[in-house]
Amino acid sequence: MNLYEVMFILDPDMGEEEREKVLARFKSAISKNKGDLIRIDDQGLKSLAYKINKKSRGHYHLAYLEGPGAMVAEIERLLRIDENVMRFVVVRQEEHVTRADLERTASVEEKAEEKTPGGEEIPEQAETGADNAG
Amino acid sequence: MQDRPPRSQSNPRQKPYYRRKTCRFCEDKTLPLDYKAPHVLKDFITERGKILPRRITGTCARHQKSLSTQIKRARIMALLPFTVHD
Repeated sequence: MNLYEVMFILDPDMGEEEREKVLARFKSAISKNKGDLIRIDDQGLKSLAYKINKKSRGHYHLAYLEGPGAMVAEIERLLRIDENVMRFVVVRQEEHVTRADLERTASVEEKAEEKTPGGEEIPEQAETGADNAG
Repeated sequence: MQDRPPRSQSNPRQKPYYRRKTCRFCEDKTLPLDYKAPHVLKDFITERGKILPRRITGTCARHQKSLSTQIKRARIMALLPFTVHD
């Protein structure tokens, strides 16, 4: 059994009811394939870096699963078929990550937000370094 | 490579002093290297959205490798642009 992270973007224009249906289908696909849903986060509407299907916003979801590799293929198939799913990505978690970690992880964005203020210095310096090297 | 000592500014033929670049992910273990943190990845792409080379950012080989994977994932999920047009 492996741990997986699935991020997917749903169409922002679909109704709440339809969204529930998509999520229900997703959940049943997991349980049917001997997997287990650890957590699913609704990250809300976010603007996209580029337009997908002529839409500039998307409804982001992040789920953590535990299950066999065969489950992944099935989930990917389901997500690919569904027209309401604009994009998805499935990432296997590294060996050292435990189920307990995933149950409680706060979203990475929040933790990272605090870190960013100091982050602007380096690329600028790097630029001058490159000029000199050339 | 990039750690030459400072030299006098009077001789124009000598390379000017610049600080040695270090890998930000090695320096700061809490800095997330993850496609879900696009604001971190943003520091490692150009304004046009291209991935900056290690030689510019000073990232170590191991982290550059995973950095490029994470940037590509972020692009797929529309968290970062593939390209920025005028």
